[in-house]
This record gives sequence, structure tokens and C-alpha cells, in this order.
Amino acid sequence: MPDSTCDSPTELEPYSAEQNVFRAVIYKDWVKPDGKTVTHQAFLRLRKDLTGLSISPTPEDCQRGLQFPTFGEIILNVGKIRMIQKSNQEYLDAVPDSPTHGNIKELPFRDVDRAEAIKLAKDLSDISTRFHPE
Amino acid sequence: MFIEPVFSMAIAFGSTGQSMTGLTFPKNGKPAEIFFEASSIRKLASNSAFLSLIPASNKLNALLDNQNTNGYVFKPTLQAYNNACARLLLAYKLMGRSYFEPSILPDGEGGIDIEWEKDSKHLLLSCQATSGQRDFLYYQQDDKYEAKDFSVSLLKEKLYWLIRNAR
Repeated sequence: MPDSTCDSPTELEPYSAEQNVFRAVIYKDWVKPDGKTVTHQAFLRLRKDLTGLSISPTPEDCQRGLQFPTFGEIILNVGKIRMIQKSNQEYLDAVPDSPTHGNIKELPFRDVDRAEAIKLAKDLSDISTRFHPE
Repeated sequence: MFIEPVFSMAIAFGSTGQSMTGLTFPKNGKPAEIFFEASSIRKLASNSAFLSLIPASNKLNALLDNQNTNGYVFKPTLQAYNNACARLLLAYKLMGRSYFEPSILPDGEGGIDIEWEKDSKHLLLSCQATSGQRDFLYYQQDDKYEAKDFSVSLLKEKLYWLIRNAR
């Protein structure tokens, strides 16, 4: 089911394939003890994620609007997100909906298609790592 | 405050009445019912035969202290916790000496994910938050994946698939 709302406003530049985006680590064990590997639970689209899975263009933007402290950020490349293919042959996308926030689109809700939701979450975790600032 | 749940687990049985690990199941057409008291896993873990369950038991119990944050429900429901305890214990018995520690994480909506990974194989047991949802097993090897409603026979089949060496 395509995401029907919150397409990128025309005045916003689309994310480039070379660009990295960031996602907040909301739960401490979303990053494995090696300090780098991200679990797929960080990328499950839940009922609350109405417009997609939140991402941000900078690590600092990840923290905007969050009420509770987080455990750092996950980093992933937009081009690699767009190479992940669904079973219906469509591809995931990363789309900004404001200068500081965007969404990973085309992910199914876990309770609608549990197998594909988990598979795609695992694909996203495979191209992600914990962000360590220089 | 630690929640002291009381839960039960019905163990189904195969056509031969014998599990792959030697557990004997009844052949008279009725599943055996095994009842565990509150904190049964902790009690069992004090038995040396169950020592290797202690880390997973501690992880499960620690989830009960989770806080719900930023729209996520990380504190599991009692149903999810009870089912996770019962099914982890069952998996432990079925795996026998091949048991190894799974990752245990909240699913973000009040449920619990128990997952084993071996080589390129993933076996995820998802214990859901409410009775209106069906617990399920997700299994994946390379790009082949599937999810089906939980059953003891499916868990047995997929644990065997996980721990055997041949692809």
C-alpha cells in the first residue's frame, strides 16, 4: 500500500542518492553490543508511523520533537535505501517532508504484512550503522 | 515492582509421540499441560540443568522495568511476557544441547521478539501484546523468508532447521 500522505512538498529538494540520513536510537538495545550493528527493530513501521519511518538529514535534527533522551543516531545512505526492493518489485524511498525531517516510504505496517515488514526492516538494518561523530 | 505472573503452557505432540530431543509427549490424543508458577524460569534457572537459561531469563525480566518513550511501548504486556517465558522454556527443551542464547527485544508495541541467528539463518519468535493478535514465527535464510502463526509443531520444525548444519 503506497503512503498516501506527506509526499515531499515541491519546494523541498529531494534527498540525493549520495546523501546520508539519520534515525534516532530510541531504545538502547537497537544497537548491538559491538557498538555498530543495528537491530531490525529500529526499522519496523508501527501503527504510530502514519507517514513512514522518521529520518532526518542531520544527527541534530533527529532529536527535534522527541520528548525523552535517546541513545545516539543511526546513519544510512539514501542511495542504498532506494536499492531495497519490495516483493511487488517497487523500491523503498527516502523523502523529505520538512527541512529537518523526512520519511522512509513504502514500508508496510508490521501488522499488515508482518513477513515483508520484518524482511525490509532487516534489509535496512543491513545498510545501517551506529553513527559515531568524528 | 516485579510482576509475578502465573502461566500455563500446552505442549502439543508429534505423530510419533517423541520430540527430536527425546522429550516424550502423550500419545492418547490430548496435549500435556505443564503449569509453571510465578517466576518459574527464575526457579528453574536455579536448577543446574537450566543454568544456560539464566541470561535470557534476566533479559526477559529486565524488560518489565522498561519505560515507554517517544511513542514506543517498550514495557511488555503481561500476556507477551508470559508467552515469551513459556515459549523460551519450550525452545530450550526442544534445542537441548544445541541451545544458544537468543536476542530478546521489545517490539515497540508491547510485545517481545525472541530471535536466534545462526550462519545465514534467522528465526524470530514474536510474542504479541494482546490476545487479539497471533504470536508468530518469522524465518529467513538469505532472501527466502516467511512468517506463520505460532504452533509448537512449527517451532519444533524451525528450531531443527536452525540448528542443523546442512543448508
